[in-house]
Amino acid sequence: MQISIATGQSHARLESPAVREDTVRSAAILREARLRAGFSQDELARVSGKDRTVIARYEQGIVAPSLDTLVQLLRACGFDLPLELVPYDPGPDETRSALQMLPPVVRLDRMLERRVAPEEDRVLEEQRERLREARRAEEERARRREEMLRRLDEERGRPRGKEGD
Amino acid sequence: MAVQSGAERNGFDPRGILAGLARNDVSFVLIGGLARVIRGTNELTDGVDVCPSLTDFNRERLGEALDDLEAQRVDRRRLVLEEALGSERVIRLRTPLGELKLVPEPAGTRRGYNDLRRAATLEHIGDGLRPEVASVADLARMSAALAHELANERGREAERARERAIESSRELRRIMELELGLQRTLGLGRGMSRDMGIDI
Repeated sequence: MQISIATGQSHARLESPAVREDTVRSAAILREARLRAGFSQDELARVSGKDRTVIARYEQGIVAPSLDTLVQLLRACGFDLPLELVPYDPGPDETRSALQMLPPVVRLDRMLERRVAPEEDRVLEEQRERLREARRAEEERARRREEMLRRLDEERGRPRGKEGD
Repeated sequence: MAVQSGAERNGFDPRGILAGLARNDVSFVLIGGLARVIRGTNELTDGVDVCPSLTDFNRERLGEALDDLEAQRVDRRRLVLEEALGSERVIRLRTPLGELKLVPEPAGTRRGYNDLRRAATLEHIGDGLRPEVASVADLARMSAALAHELANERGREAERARERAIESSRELRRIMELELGLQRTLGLGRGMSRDMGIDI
């Protein structure tokens, strides 16, 4: 642990920065885009006009970029972030954790309510199907992007996935 | 109660069935889908599965409870409880409140009720009912054993039942892990984890 001479404060936070849960996704997607583009943080900073240290903090999840900034950085990497509203589908882990917080009597009531509301279940299932469809489309777009980038790299004559920094 | 009226509309009132058993002082452990729901799985079920105690006294009480619930065999044969408990693995009954299954010795258990009762706990499920509900670990054990048994059976229905049993077993194991994490957080001892068959 380092101690600042000027302030006497510990630098432990800098050594192992606390990663905020809400920044993990933007950090991961930004890093993924940069690595796919084959950029170092310096190169991305140059292309996007942002400071390299700011990009590093985004990627470490210390700071969350605004949505507009994230899209701007992703575009600088040659990607886009399609934004569309889709029904929220809590994953099985989230549902399970939520159920564990409920008392048995409520779990039973909840199941009985779901049984008598098949229409709601049908609507939910339709929404889930639309969500799955959107995900499949997104995967297809990602696959095409990947293919396009690979072709570009081959034309440039450099291997893919090389760490830039 | 809104939920009950809804359940009645849909022909399934598990509290009504359990109240019928409780009224007649039947000793049993709740197992199957309803027990899993009470333990926290996200599934739908339309029957009550119980593993009854097989003492003479309890058989008598159970017989009276089944009369009380107007239970009849699903296959429409006459119900001879003594005979059925001794020879059938699952006794499927139909009542005006929904299906009731008696399982004297569920898959994966030894001596049924006596085995399950050790880890079962009393759970409040509303309407003043507190049935003994099989533990998460025992429910997982039963689902896994059922899936194993069904592996030798042919047919689409058996295959589906096997898939459901495997999924239930996995789901229950995830719940066990969640409960274990909660125990760790709360700083509880090793006893419960040992009961669950997991080493911390």
